[in-house]
Amino acid sequence: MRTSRKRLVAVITGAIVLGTLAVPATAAGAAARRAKLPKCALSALDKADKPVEIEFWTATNAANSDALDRITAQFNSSQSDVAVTIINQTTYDDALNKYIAGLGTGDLPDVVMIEDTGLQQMIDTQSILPAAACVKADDYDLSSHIERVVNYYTVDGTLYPMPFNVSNPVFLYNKLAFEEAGLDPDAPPETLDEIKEAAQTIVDAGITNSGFSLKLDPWYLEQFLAKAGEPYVNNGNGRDSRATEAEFDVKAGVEIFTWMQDMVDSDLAVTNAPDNFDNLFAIGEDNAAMTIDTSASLGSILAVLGGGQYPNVEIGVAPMPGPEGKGGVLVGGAALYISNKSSSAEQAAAWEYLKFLNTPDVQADWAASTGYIPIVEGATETQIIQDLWTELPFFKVAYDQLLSGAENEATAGPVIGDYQGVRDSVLEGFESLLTQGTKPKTALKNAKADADSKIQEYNSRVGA
Amino acid sequence: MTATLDASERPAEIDKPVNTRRRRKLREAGLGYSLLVPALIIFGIFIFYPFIKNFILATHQVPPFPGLPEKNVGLDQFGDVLGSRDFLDSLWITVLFALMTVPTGIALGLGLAILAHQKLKGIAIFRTIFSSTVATSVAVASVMFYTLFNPNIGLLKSISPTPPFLENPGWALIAIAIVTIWQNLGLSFILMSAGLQAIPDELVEAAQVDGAGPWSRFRNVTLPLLSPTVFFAVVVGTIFAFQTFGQIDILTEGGPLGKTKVLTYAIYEALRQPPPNPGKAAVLAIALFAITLVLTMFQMRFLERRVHYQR
Repeated sequence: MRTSRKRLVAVITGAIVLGTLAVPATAAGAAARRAKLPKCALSALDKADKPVEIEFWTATNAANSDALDRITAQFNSSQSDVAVTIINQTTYDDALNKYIAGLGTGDLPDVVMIEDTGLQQMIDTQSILPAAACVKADDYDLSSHIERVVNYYTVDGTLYPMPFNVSNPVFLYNKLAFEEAGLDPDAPPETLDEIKEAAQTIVDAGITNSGFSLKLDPWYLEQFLAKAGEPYVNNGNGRDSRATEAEFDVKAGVEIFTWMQDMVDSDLAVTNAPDNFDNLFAIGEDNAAMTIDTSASLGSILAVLGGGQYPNVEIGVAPMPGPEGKGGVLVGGAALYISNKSSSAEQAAAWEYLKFLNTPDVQADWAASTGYIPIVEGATETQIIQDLWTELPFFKVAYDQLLSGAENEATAGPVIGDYQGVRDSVLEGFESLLTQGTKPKTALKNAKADADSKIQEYNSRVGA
Repeated sequence: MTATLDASERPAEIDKPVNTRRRRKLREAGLGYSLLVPALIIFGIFIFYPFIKNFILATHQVPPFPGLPEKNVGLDQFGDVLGSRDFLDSLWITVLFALMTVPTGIALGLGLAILAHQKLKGIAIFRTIFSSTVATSVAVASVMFYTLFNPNIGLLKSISPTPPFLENPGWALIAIAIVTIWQNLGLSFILMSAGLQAIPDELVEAAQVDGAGPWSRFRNVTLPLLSPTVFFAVVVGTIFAFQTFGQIDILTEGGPLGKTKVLTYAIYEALRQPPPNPGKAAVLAIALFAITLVLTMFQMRFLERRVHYQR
């Protein structure tokens, strides 16, 4: 009842937005918002000469590439219809850049791995065969997928990519420092205030120079606000219709900024730039006892901090604390897009491959070899995951955390065209907040204004 | 057919000598132009066309993906981009960078040049060593310093306490400046050495005869005569500083916190960071072009005058 009314509201607002845009709107804007799904011609694969060769652009590092290569080789030898070739573009940025460049030159893959933040841009390229089209054509059952993950990649009711590698942020802390300071190492902080209290206790006891290691990553604000249950941008976090302005300058936003400033001003937190891992080394060097980072690099984090070089550290992993509210952490990682510039046989072949990657066994294998979250129900019951979770309970934290979050607009995550531009604006906000002593409310307001102009510039450039 | 015949025949009857001269001139011009054609084609493709295209892009709002319509926004984009904080920040960082690298580089180069300007045995070896950095590429210099600066394995780690140069927002630009100064030292040394050698010995000797000490000779004779070289080095060095790219791309990629994002890197990022924005990049490129143009004109103006200083 409630959802249908919400959808009706969405349809009406959508209609109004479309109506007002009708005159200036170009084909692009209208096409991006078109509700009708293109065709996913599954039968093309049967008619084609076998095997159909497809190219898959990935962006994975050493351990993860090995796992994906192995899984793909397994797929190639398990059947004779489809042959997948992996080309590793090594970073998410490069994969997206090359894909965009390929739109002009025609040098495109059949499947491409794109970071979570690239969703709106990929939709706007109009070069994507929505996974929803194949889901429909194939009668594919999405109900065994974690709903939060499917929701994250669904915009305006359409699932665009097939989810694959999913991660989220976790709280990392030094259990030994907690113990020495007289804190319970098995009861890590759950709220921002509790982080502050723990930091104060640890610093007062002289265990570490400061308590919390704060990476100046705008991603924190996104995650904290989702945890508070607040949408990041307007129009249903950009999911009902294209977002036109940021909405992070709310009470919860001010609370987060105030907390950050407070922590840094009272020397309870040390900061580092978002493009390095100093926040983790700070724990090793006894400069801090707590931080927040992605579960995707949990394997490497545990290897470095637990590798014997730092006998002063025993890492604990817990759900990410945050402002109080009805929310949860966001889905992070990347997803796989089928290009509609490929022939219909190649598109159908790509779909076969994506289905394979989403089978419980493959998801279990992938999660166990990388640290990503298994995203289909059956995967968690496999022996390999059960063994992993018994042996290294840390890896379960991110999974449980994702499942325990509320399901709403806020936790569905923001869809923004110029995602990086908005992040740059927030980063500038952090800077003025922490180095120039700008008031939290003012810093947030400036960041919002800056972000708004970036969102609107992008929208105007894609003709929406 | 008839028209061409008429045209070539009638003037031939009226004035023959003028016509042949003109014809020869025309033929020569034709030959000249046809010899220019290959160069023109290459220049056209690689310089003139991109140059014009750049101005066209700057006045257009270019969509991030092909297939979407472009919009002519006239000069609005210039206002938006050049008035933005991003641009002003980048410009300030670039100016800071020039201020850090140019004077220091010239002073060090001059110091080494004076040291090497002695008639000593084996001085050529020192001259070779001092000028050797000319032969290193930006990439090599960057990788060397990347290793030196590395907070875990770098040599500078033993000189404690070292800040983590490249990761620290307050130090990153200084670290890049150190690499640049080191790399440009060879060029600066060669320029200053050449300048010193161009100073007639008799002038210095005359000053010596007049009883001027070494410092006084340097201050009152050498330095003024060297000033055109110094001036040239300042202008060229500043232009180089404004075009610095390699070491930043290799060492910091504009970070941390955008503290090393000089203009060239901002242009690169406008094109690279998805969604790409060629229009914005074009405006930034024009801004950089304008700055370099002013510096060049400045140099030509003043240097031309200064060259005649001695006469």
